[in-house]
Amino acid sequence: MEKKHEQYDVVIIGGGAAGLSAGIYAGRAGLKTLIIEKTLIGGLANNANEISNYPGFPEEISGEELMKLFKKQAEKFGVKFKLTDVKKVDLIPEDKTVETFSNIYHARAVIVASGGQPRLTGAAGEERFLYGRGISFCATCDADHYIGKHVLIVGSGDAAIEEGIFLTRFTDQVTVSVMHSEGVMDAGRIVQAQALANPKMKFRWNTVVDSFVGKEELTAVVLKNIKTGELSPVEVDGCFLFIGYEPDTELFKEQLPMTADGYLVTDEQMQTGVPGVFAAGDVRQKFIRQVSTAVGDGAIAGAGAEKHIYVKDGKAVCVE
Amino acid sequence: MADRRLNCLGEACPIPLVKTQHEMGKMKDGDLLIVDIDHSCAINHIPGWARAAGYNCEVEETGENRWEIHIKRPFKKET
Ligand SMILES: Cc1cc2nc3c(=O)[nH]c(=O)nc-3n(C[C@H](O)[C@H](O)[C@H](O)COP(=O)(O)OP(=O)(O)OC[C@H]3O[C@@H](n4cnc5c(N)ncnc54)[C@H](O)[C@@H]3O)c2cc1C
Repeated sequence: MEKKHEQYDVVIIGGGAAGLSAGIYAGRAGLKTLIIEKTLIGGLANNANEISNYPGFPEEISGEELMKLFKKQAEKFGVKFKLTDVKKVDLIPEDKTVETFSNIYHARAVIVASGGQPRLTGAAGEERFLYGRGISFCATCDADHYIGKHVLIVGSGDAAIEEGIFLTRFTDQVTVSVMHSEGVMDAGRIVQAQALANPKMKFRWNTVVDSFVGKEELTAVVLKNIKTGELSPVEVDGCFLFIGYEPDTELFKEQLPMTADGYLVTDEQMQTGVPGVFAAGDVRQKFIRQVSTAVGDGAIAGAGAEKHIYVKDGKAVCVE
Repeated sequence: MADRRLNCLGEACPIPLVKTQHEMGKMKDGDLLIVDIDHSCAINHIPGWARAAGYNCEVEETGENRWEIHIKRPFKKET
């Protein structure tokens, strides 16, 4: 099959908060802009059931609602969307290409806003229960499957504990597997106190997942005590993993500078060092990964792309 | 080569995925399956599964909260 070639001024890889914000800036600047997203527009923030720290929404808003508004705003400025995964990129030449299954997109500027993926435990049986078979990464999306049931949460950071508390509104019991010693969690103090006071939450300290068990669907998770080595199966209806994220940067290896753990390195102007290639949002090496910081990055990257390109005789040209 | 269509409108996860997996099991190399869905959870599950299984997968947004998922069984498994 011949791939179709299409020309854009700016191609943005990833349709999360950072990509959408970059799209709003690039689109508003009159650049022909495409956002390519492999799952749902809105990215990771779709998983947040309440966002209470994004300015402008004092009454709290769900991540999904907020991302719909971002998308609407990008559409208003003429940004185009394509829902597919980017398979290959060539970012070094002036005529940059971004390849999907059926298209080759040419662009003057590329903004990488590919965020990250939830980290897996790597324990035996995990693969079999991904994609709706019992292992989940999104409490908002899946909470209603677990009304009156028992779920296990793996992790003890803010996302793990906050989502655990949220799940107690639906479930009978939430068990939390924490790899640290009794009473030690990575989450902030306020959430920790709320969790410890919640009668539906039980903690299994010093544990990690040994294996996932079940026929078609997950029925138990075997936890391993890292101090004693003891294995104990916990019967559950579902399991949520909140053990961190890994940046989605496999595609950019050998083209863009990155840290040892795969985060893209940029300067304050979101430039990657390759002319015309910018990075924004969670995919960057940075201090805090939030919607508000992703939006800031996206704005800078979008404006940077505009500076990189100027329009001459109705055609976009790169600034030398 | 044949195209098939699977209607999963009104169905919540994991039903669309289970049906898609079943349907893909019956397909031959080069066949295309189009799945109609209106639950956003399936946009996370189905393409993720399909790509991990070595199929090509693209999504068309056909309306407010409506999508067509196109899954193609390649002639040779691409990476
Ligand atoms: C449970 C939870 C709760 C949270 N709560 C809050 C909160 O209350 N407040 C807050 O500010 N932040 C919160 N966050 C963090 C926030 O969601 C992220 O910081 C934000 O989404 C980052 O946006 P991003 O655009 O950089 O990346 P992402 O949202 O990860 O978007 C990247 C997108 O790129 C796509 N992509 C990746 N690779 C490819 C490819 N090859 N081809 C095509 N597309 C690709 C991905 O599918 C994804 O949609 C929360 C996160 C979680 C998980």
